[in-house]
Amino acid sequence: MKSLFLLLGCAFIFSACTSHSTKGTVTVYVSEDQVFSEPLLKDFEKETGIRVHAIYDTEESKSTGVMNRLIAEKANPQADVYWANEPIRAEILRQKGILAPYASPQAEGIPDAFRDREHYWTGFSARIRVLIVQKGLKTKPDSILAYADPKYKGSAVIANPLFGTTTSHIAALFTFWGEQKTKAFMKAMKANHTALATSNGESADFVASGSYGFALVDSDDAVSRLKAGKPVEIVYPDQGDKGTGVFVVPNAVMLIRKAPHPENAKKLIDYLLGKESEKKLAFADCAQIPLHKGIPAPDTLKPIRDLKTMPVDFKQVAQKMIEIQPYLKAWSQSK
Amino acid sequence: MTRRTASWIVVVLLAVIGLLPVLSMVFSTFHTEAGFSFEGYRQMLHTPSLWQSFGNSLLLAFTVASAATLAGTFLGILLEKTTLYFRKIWLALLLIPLLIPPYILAYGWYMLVGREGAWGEILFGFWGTACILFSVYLPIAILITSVSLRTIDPRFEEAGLLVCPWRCVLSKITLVLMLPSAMVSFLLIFILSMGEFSVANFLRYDIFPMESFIQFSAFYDFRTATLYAMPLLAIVLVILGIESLLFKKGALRFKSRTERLTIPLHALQIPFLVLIGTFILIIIGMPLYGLMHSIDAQSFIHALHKAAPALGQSLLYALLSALLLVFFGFATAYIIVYRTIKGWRVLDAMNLFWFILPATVIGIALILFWNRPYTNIIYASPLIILFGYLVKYLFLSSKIIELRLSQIPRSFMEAAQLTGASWYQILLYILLPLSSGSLAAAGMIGFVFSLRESTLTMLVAPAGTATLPVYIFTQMANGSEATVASLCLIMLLIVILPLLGLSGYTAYQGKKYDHA
Repeated sequence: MKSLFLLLGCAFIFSACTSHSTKGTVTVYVSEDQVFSEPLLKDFEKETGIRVHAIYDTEESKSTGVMNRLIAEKANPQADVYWANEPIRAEILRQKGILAPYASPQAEGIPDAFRDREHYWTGFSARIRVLIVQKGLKTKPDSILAYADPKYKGSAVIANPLFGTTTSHIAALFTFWGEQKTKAFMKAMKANHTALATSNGESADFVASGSYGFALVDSDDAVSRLKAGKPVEIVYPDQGDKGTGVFVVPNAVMLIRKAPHPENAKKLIDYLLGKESEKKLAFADCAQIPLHKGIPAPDTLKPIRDLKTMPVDFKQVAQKMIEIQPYLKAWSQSK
Repeated sequence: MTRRTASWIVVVLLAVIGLLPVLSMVFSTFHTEAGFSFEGYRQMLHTPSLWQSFGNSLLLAFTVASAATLAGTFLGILLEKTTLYFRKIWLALLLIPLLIPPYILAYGWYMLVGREGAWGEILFGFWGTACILFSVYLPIAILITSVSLRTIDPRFEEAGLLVCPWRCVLSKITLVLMLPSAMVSFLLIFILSMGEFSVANFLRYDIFPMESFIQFSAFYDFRTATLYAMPLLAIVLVILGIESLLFKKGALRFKSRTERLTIPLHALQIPFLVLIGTFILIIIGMPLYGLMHSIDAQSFIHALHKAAPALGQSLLYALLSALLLVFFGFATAYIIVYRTIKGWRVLDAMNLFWFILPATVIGIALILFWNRPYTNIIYASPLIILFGYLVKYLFLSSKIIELRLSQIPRSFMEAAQLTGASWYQILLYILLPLSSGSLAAAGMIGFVFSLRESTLTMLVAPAGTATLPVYIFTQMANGSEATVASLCLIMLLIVILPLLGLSGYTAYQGKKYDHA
């Protein structure tokens, strides 16, 4: 019994001692996939000597696990920086009072549309929402309205709009088209027997395997299937005069209010917003599109300047997203 | 220090570590802007989709528990009571699914049959989820059957054999005597299947814990998420009632006997060998093949190199957690068996409540309670992970030790008391040595369950302390299939190798002892 007590005591002391040193470190919560984000954070460590402690989101938590932690930790934040894979949830954090403003000098050159006016978050390296289409499909869809077109009945799939960038996209449509038109579109999408996948990745796999004709996914999901030699192609939706344009989803980086290491946090934010980081993300497997001018876009995608993009106010979209969650839950569970 | 004071110290420690955080979450479900209210519960009861997923969960848990209990009873008898060849090897192989995170088996099947086609259709849905959970929890039923068979007085079976053959003795005596333990097996597997989330989530089967998860992940609504975990409490209460009835009748007082009768298989030896070999090949061999066929040496070494820090941390935390679980498991078992304080039943219920509560609720409760500037030494260190494991798995370690303590004759303690031994001396020199086997078993179970845990770890692990199961999950998002499969194989090896080493060592020690 005494030795058990001794062991327990040692265990506690050891565990407590392994808590991180507070000097020369920065803690970042990351929603971008670990396979893409970790190399960049390692480079930051090498270049600055600042140790990065990261928590990555997982597939299981649908990219919202660290969001929940940030909210739960509001009173006593552990994170310094949050690297989100889209700015809508950053807006939710801002509205909950979890973020602090920081105007990074590296944000110069990033278009205003992709940064918060009050500097609570700044966008970088974007994905776009594209249609991944089965090669050889007789009539290729060129708009997201194809989901409601009887011509494509039963041949489309979309990720569950309760999670991820699909939620953001639908919320953006609510702000752009208005409630009535968007709900009519959603209803028609259901009536058209649109299949639901659990993620954009799964939607892309369905199309790649020939189970469905097309899906609305993030550009990195489409590019990775294209690079893997799957019989698919990318369509940039709604490029016509009356089209909404493509929905652009930048990464977003933000400083946490009362961050334990604010100076190191700012250095990391500056690093992530730098041109070099955008270049690395553009030529990594995720093929993200740089927002700074003068950085070449990945070969597999068109540069943003060559595309018609959907005008979006991320603040409005964030508010709308909270409002429509019950509707989306009911929609996704309806038959 | 008196026995009562020591018991209260343990209870207070457990209350601070896990009960207060969880209770504060539970109380929040009654709190609305207007004050105390049952409105949340009323709304929940009037949500049809919840009933649908609750029905799905009940159906899944019932199917898995029934199938695993039936098959586990059959296999338990075959491995414990017959002359089947290689019984220990078969048992060791059948234990594998329990030792690894369930989603790894699901991933193995996915790698084997894919998402498309008829097999994919079966895998992704009710039957796939049920079959995988069946293989995961089958070992529990086998182990309980084995233990139960050892407690049967052979004189009953001998008397039966005088008038009818083994088949009749089995059905009319052995199985009847085993019914209470089969009930325990069913209830335990039922609880575990109700709370298991990762397989159903991976295989897209809509179950009740998903509702709570959606409230967390899509709505960021901690209160409603906790509220949606509350129906599980009702199930806990029912199960506690049944469990207490079984205990009252003495049905679970396992007394191991050295003498037991075995059933000679004769001509059935080969058919049963083929049967069990094929069964193991299907439920274990196939998913493991699915995992391994995409792995090459290079990707395995690459994965091992990348996962090394997470691997080391996993082993360390599992080891420390096992120590904690043994200590508190023994303490709570002691309080429950010897009823050292009033309200010992509450402690028992609390353990079961923690065990069945979704890991997401425990995780958020721990964050909200422990994440304060003056408790940073706990929250910002791996201690918070250990607290989580302790809360989640104390039920298992406590029950294992409780069963052993309840078998130790009271006369030993009474004799010691007559010679003037204090309660502490009795505990130190009688109870602990006599329950050392169960302490080792509790430690091993605690180690394995802590090692495979992912949901709670994801929520509370401080930055930079990711464990291997969490690392595997993060790699599943756009990581290469070979890397993910290699990581799963590493996970499998780190769970199985220590157990193989331990069983080899035990066998060696046994032989040495016999030889001496």
